[in-house]
Amino acid sequence: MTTTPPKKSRGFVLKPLHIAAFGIILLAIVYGIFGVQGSVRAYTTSVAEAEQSGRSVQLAGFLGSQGEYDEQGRWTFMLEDENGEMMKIISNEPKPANFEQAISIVAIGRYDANEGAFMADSLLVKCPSKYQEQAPSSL
Amino acid sequence: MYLFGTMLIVSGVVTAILATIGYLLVTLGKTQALPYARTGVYLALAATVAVSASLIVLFVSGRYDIKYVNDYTDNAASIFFKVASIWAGQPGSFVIWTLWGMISAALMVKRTRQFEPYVLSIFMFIQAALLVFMLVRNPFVPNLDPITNEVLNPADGKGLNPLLHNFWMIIHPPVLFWGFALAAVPFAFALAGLWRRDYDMWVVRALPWTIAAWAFLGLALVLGGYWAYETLGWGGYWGWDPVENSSLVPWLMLTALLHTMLLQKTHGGLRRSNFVLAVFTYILVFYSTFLTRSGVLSNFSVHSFVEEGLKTFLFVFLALLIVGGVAMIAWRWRDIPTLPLSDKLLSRDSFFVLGALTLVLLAVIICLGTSMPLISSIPGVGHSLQRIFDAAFETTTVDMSDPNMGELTDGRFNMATSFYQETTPPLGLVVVLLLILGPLLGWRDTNIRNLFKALTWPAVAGVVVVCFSLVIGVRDLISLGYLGLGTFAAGTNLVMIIRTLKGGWMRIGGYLSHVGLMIMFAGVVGSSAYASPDERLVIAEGDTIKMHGFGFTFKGYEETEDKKGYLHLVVEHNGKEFKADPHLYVNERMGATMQTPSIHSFLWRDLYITPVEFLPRSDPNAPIMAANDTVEIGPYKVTFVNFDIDRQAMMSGQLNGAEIGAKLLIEYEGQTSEYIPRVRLVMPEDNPDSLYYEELPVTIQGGHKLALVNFDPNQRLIALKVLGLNLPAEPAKAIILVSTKPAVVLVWLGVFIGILGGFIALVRRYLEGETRLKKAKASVRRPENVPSGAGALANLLRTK
Repeated sequence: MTTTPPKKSRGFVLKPLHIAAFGIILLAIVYGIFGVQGSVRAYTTSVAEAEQSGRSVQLAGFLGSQGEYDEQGRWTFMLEDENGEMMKIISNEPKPANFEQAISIVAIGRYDANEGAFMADSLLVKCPSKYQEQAPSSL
Repeated sequence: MYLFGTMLIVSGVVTAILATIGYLLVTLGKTQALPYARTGVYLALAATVAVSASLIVLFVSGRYDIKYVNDYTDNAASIFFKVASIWAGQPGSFVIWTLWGMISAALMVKRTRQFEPYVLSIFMFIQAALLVFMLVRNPFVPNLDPITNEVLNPADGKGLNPLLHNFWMIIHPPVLFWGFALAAVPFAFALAGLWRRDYDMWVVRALPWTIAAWAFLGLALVLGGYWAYETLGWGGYWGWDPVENSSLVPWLMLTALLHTMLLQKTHGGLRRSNFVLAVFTYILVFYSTFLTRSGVLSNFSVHSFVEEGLKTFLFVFLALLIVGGVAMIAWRWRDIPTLPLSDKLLSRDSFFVLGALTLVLLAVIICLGTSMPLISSIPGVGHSLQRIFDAAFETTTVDMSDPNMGELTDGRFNMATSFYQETTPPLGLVVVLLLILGPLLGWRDTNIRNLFKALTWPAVAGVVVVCFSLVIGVRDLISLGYLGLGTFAAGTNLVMIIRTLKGGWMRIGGYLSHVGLMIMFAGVVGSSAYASPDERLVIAEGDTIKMHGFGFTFKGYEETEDKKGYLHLVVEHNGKEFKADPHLYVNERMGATMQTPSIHSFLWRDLYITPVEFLPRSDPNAPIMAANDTVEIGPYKVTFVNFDIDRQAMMSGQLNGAEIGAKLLIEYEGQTSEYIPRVRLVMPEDNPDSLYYEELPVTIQGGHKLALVNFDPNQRLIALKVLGLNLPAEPAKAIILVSTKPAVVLVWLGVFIGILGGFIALVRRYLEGETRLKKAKASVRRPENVPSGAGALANLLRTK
């Protein structure tokens, strides 16, 4: 395939290519670190933990109420965790499809003490065994 | 049927293993095994076809005594959807994945020459594994009553999930599985190359297959995105969901792989990298399967699969692939002759390397992010990582002086979409930068002066676009980068298209794909970064609200012929009117609210309407209240406390004359009083069935009468009516979310052009491969010409 004879290896020679490659890798790492900041969503199944931790979490629980739109048009409902505790969830997005059939729901967001509720950026609705497609938060 | 179907699958497994062992024997020198191995391949194909055909028959004829058929289809489905339901669930998706693989294997028998036994023994081993999965998730399992274990045979099936009941469901899965099936080909070829110690020819043979895998997998990703955009109504086409990501990662690797393979084929070098990339691409395809089917991400993904019993098998096979692949690479590592990387930065050699590096970095970042729930589920790792992140960044508002405060019991965590939105655009911009110069460069070296001459017009175009973007309001630096540099890169690739067109249309494939990618990026910038935020409109029936230059009029809630309700809207824009009918109805069978958006595509933007809610006409004089509800009726604030039932009468059985009341607290002009409007049950003794309720209204503060009109003690609801207030009725209202998506059409256009470029390249490399095969067969020496244009097809037909 190639016409150049294999060169004798003289040890590592720094080429412009290496510098460019290193630059790209550095860029990836730096932006990677920036990306992690503020993007971690810790998982919990306890309402109490979600409330007290003060961080953005993924709260998994069960449907505790039918849910309704409040005056500002936000979808709200009660989430019940495995201990039976209830937490009010407010989501900016419309009611997710298949909401009524959910056997469990994961709310991703953060507890807001002023509102007294969990402000959800997005909701994952889990339905029994069948393959279901729900509405995630948008790109 | 269960027995027959299972026997078909088992025979598939057996013949696939026969083929594997047969080819293995051939590699050890026993060429008499070759016809047996080939027969094994064809028989396995036949078995898989038989399984698929059986499933089609079962689904179309409505055999609900088979559990899989019962779960995913019903009598009402059209024939297209009956067939499409075959791949709606796990068992059936394995069937088409295996089928596509078998077809590929059969095609490879005659097209792989000396590689045949090596490649096909590996490939058929993979097929055997897939058939084993099919056995575990057997689609022919009968529909059994869970208690009595008798075979049920209902008259109608459960039907396909209404969310899946659309056109995209018919084509997206088959295309995806073509991508998955074809991705095993470069994998098998790479291992075969290592095995045979033939470190160059495998690339030449596998290149067309790799391009095909790339094109199909890319197409599948686009179809998924378009499906989400057009049907699901959240206004986007990519959610960075784990299932989406896990298909994107191998596609990125395939993109890198086909470039590095092209480099090795044309110019030599990158031998080891190609082996590593080819092997890891398929490992990642299987890892993606593992993530979606094993249920490990069921709490972290919108495509929420629950674990269905395959986890161990998938994990074992994935481990086998990793161990086997890495072992083979390690075995031959030192044996592979390496070439040093190019000294010249301004050469295709170098740019291909940098491009592949960037794509692999993207794949690694997305893979790591998606795998975080899995990685953090390893005991100890999750908590340690979270602690590191807490120390490095501010993740919690709680006082961190107490290290145990704020830490959660479950160590697992997920990366939000913001992670991907932060980390991927810069690397994408690097790709764009490389695409500006890359296509213009020579393989080894470049004439700088010629280079700069070619750059002039594209650079001007780029500057023009940046100025235009600034004028229309684009301010974000990265967006401007994509638009300006993207135009620049599209320009240079167009220059290359013009240059190479003289040599035949088939040479333009790669450059065309690059142009398509730039167009897509422009569309993504417009429709994501500059989409207008969702505006919530509440429109009363007959009213019009103006927004974004459009006038929205709600005409009423209507139903289509098949009882699907929709909000009938008329939208006016620049003097023209058009209908917008987003669907919003309750599917009785599923008990779920169904919604589809209404999308109207203009040239430069889409108008996206998501239906949220329909509030029917209501009479404020006659509210329906649940226990503890408070309702405002004009000047009154009414709270329903409880029922007041005449228990004595109920217990004694003397129902005639029994009274039922609703205890209400009514606030009027600052004063709250309790009132109990009642109804009296009147049951004539001679005709007990003609019982009725006599209303006993009360007079409340302000002089109006309040009556209890109806009640439901089980649901604890009451219906009241206030007489004399005559408050006007509330008209019906439609609540919708409206947003505009600028330039989203460029996303679809760009992707279409990109994949078109891929198919052109595929045709070219396929024909090159055919010429090579013919050349090897023919004794006459032919010049090693790359075929160009339609002439090659004509040549092919002539020589046949």
